[in-house]
Amino acid sequence: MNFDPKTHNGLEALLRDALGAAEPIPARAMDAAFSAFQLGMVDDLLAELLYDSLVEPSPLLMRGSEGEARLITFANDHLTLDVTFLADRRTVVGSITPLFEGAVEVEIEAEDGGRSFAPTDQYGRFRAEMAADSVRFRVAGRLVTPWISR
Amino acid sequence: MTRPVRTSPPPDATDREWKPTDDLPLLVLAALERDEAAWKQLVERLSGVVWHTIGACGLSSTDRDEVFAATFFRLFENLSHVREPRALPAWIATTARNEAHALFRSKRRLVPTDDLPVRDLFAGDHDESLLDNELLGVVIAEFNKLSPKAQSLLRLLTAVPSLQYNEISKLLDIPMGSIGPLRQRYLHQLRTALVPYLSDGTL
Repeated sequence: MNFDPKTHNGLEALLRDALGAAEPIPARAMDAAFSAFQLGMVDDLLAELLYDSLVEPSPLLMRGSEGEARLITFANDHLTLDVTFLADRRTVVGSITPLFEGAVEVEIEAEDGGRSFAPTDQYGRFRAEMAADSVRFRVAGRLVTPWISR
Repeated sequence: MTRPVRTSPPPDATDREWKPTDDLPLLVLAALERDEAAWKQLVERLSGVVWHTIGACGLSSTDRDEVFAATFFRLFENLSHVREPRALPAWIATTARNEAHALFRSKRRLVPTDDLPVRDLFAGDHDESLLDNELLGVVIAEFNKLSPKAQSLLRLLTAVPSLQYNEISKLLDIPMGSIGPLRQRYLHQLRTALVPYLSDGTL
């Protein structure tokens, strides 16, 4: 054989071949990675701020047990992201639509580079604690919001 | 089991002149200039190390696809910040590991359960019908009998472009000094299991 499995390098080369044959990268995974070029264009990913209750106060705003909240809606061609900063100034709840298959996390990035991840449930909802004053939200490959100061 | 069939080495296994990281700087620059073909080459060039890293994280096949794509989305987003393209294999391996862990975390939160059945995920996660080479099939069968830790390490050691020991140490959270001895031990285990299948039996 071309590999000499008596040597470590030869055995590793044989194993590399075996793994490549047994677990080839599926074409759909490669296509998804290629598509980052199209989907990933920043202009395309960047979500527009559609609504901010700080700018347009609504009489329907929640003023219940959780105090005064700030509601913001972002959207791009792929997703709509609704977020609510609760009055405790730490908790963020939100949801994404439409729902899509697979595990989805909403990443919350702080100005200092800190990142936290909030998994969405079966209805696309998430909840996170975030103390930073300025944050932006990201759903990998699908949406990035502008920075928002609380 | 019949005698093994000859196998062909991948070009990178024998060609010591060319390294798969050599043209990464050019590909990154071209991709930044919106050259889609360069981006595709970049994905192809780094796909192996991402796939091996994800494989070392014990994910189901569906989750592997998801993490694979998410990893390259992350690369695309960060492309303009790449300072040392030749360090991309280590960067993207770390990113893939982080994406896999993020997916684990979300699944743990969504579906409260005991520890993930890593051993089950590792076993039988390949398509036997794709193995047209009998020896390779035997290698995989014996590889799947190794411990999850051994499988993870060997996956990272066989990644292309290759990862350095210090990078593998961080990815698997094991001391760098242990990697050489563990590599020897696990390859010895695999070699011992393969002895009956190799042509001259003198391994």
